[in-house]
Amino acid sequence: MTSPLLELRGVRAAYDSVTVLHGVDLSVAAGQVVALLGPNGAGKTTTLRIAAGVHPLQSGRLLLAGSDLAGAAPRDLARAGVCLIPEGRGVFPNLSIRDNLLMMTYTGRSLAQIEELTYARFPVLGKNASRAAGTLSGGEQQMLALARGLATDPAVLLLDELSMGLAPVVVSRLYEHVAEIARQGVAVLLVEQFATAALSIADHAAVLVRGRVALQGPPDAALRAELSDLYLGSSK
Amino acid sequence: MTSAESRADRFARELADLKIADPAAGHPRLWQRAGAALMVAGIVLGVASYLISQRTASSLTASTAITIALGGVTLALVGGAVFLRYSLTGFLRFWMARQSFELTMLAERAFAGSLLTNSDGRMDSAGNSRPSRTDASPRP
Repeated sequence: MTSPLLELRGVRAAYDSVTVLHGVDLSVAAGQVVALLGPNGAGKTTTLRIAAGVHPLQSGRLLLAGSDLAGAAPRDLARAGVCLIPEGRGVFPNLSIRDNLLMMTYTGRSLAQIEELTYARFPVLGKNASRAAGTLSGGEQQMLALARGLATDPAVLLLDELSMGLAPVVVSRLYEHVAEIARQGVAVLLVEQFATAALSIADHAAVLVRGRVALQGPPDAALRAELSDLYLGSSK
Repeated sequence: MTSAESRADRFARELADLKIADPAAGHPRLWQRAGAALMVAGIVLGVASYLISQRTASSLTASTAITIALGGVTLALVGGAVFLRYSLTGFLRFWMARQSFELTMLAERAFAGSLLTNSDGRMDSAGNSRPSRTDASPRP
């Protein structure tokens, strides 16, 4: 395995006096999809926010391509190639698809370049380029969010609850795109509550329970069985 | 996977080139406290020096005390400015974020209202029922 692009070592984090992560260890290599699973309130989103530099660490290390960047500003990490697509998609609902993409030209790419890349990957966005993002279906909005993220040419892609509010068929289509993005060498850390879809494309999975990695490994049958025990309680 | 390696290598190089500001350098709370302390010290110094200048019989002492009092006033002004700078920015940032969020919510609600007048709010082609838009506002 290549050396990880993103690595969390013994990460502890808190909201005021409430500690939510108790020493999380996680790593994602280039071209790898890691699914971070777990029930509500386990600390999955906080882990992503830490990886993006949005939430401060209490202790532990945030390593990006081997450099310790704990405490770096989110804008610095974003500039280097860390991209967080938050839960709720984060598109501008009142702007058209084209204008949403136009907002990404701050990265130095021209609108024409961004549109070319986007519409080649998501043709449905090209057909509706002048429609307001708020009028798109949830799946299309998520595609737009992915396209905006990809316009930054990310090396590390952090995805929070991609499947939220979407029909299963739309989710599996989106995950095909995520797998394709990873194949191009992007390290993908995927946070999901719905394990089945995420495990279908993951190379590695970690299950977070009450701020601790309770289980991790390749998404094989053994992990799925243990995962089901963690979610539903042990049957033994 | 040459392209993957090159992106990863570029990522490592860009991170190495990145001049990341020391997050401790900002220390907004420290500056806020320093500003408050300067403000209080300036006021105390100003008032004390002014009182000394009023009570002394020596014109030399009086002029020195008045000079120090003016220094105290300056200190208080600078301290006040530093305090306001570091206490208000957090509040204003939060206020702006809240304004922006409320405007977006308002626009979404207005937009949902206009959608409901034009359509029956059925599920879209991708199977997304758009619950937030249809449920947020009552059918007119």
